[in-house]
Amino acid sequence: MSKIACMSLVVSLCATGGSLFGQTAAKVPDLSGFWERKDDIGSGNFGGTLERIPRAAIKPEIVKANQEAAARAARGEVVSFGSKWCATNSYPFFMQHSAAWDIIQGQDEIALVPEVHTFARHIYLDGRKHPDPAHLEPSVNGHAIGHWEGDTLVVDSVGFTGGGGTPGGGRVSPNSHLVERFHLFDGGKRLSVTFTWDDPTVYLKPHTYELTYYKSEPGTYAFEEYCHADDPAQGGSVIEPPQK
Amino acid sequence: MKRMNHLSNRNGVCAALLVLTVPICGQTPNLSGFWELRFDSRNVPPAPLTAAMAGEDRSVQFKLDTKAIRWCHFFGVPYMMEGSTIDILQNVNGKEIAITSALRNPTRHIYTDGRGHVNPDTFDPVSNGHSIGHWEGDTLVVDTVGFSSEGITGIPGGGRRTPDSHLTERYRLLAGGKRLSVVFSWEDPKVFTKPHTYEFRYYRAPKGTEAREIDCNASDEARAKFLTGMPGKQE
Repeated sequence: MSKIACMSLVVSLCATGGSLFGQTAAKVPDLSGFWERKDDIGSGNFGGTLERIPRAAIKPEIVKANQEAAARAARGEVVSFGSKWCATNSYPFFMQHSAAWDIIQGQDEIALVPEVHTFARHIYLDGRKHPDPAHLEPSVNGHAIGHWEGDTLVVDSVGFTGGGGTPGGGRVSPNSHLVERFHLFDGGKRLSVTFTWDDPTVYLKPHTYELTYYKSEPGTYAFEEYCHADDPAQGGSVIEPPQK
Repeated sequence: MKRMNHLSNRNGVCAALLVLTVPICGQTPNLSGFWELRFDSRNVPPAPLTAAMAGEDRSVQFKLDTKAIRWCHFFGVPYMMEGSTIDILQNVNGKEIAITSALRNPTRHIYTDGRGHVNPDTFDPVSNGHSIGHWEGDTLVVDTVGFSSEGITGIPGGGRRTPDSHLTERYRLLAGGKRLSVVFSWEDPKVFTKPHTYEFRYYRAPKGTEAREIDCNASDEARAKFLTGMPGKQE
């Protein structure tokens, strides 16, 4: 290769963003950064904002189970020891939490990184499929694959361990299938995420709702929201009633 | 010269220009992907400990680390860099790099947007510390301070991470991108008499590697007894 040809190659690489190094600028929206919810409807608290979400159409047996759990809680019984033992938060908990979460956008993968005590969520964009169900290891965040439809990131997830709930009264189970659509608006200052949960063991029809997020200020940095089960204050967050 | 080989170009002049292209274009090597340690990945010399640290009963560190494991505390740096396969994700806009592990450990956020460290008067120390990075040629240099005393604090080679620790890491691809060298250098006047430096060389995990979630259950009594009792004496 002549020096002239070589210099041309260098110039060409620069012009194309140095794609030889796998760092070509993506021709898709840049979702990266910290995102946080705000009470922009005047609910007074974050729980209140979730009250605006449509109620899920759930199967009668799930309705009954929810009612029984509510009645037990009303009687003072403990229905969850999660806070006492600092149990891992299941998806989609951190998406509706008040703490900001961070999107790291690579070429072949996007990570959603929460501050609460759970795992980062990995969304693969490299064209892979979901693993065969026989070989899929369930996880709290599920197995997520994504693709772009215009300026919208569409994420398909299966393989949840389950056990958590969704806004609107739904539940996450090992049979749950989630489709999410991530879309910037307001000039990139806000992010819309539309969730659609489908699960024949939970819902009568797909449960769809939207949450919106505000982009955090530049320079925002991550906290670590720790939880110590050996801290008496934490361990005492759940107190069992006397046994009958 | 090894760095030139993966460019598949045997013309020395052109290869040199292509290497120069990295800083010329403002592009950086792509460290993204899953990386794993193997049996021959560690070059860890004994740490140059202060007299106080060298004279400390070894059971002190053992108890600290065991407590963190038993109660599922965040493990933090440096353990999260060797406790499982790690996934490095380099933001396409060049402003941040994340390192996740399969452990229930907070993700490391390495800010590469030119910011400095957070004012220590207002920063809440964390197990991973506060990390900022910049590129020196093809090497990512990461500077971390602001550690808490949370988690598995033992440092490979000896000593422990403390709120006064300062960690410098240098990340560089080797073998055409198949391996990743990370040189760790710890400074802490109460722990080390001079910087303690060691190197890990990670192997790139196979294409299609999936992230795992290795959970931690503090309420598991059998697990707690196993971790804190006499070896071989539990049910």
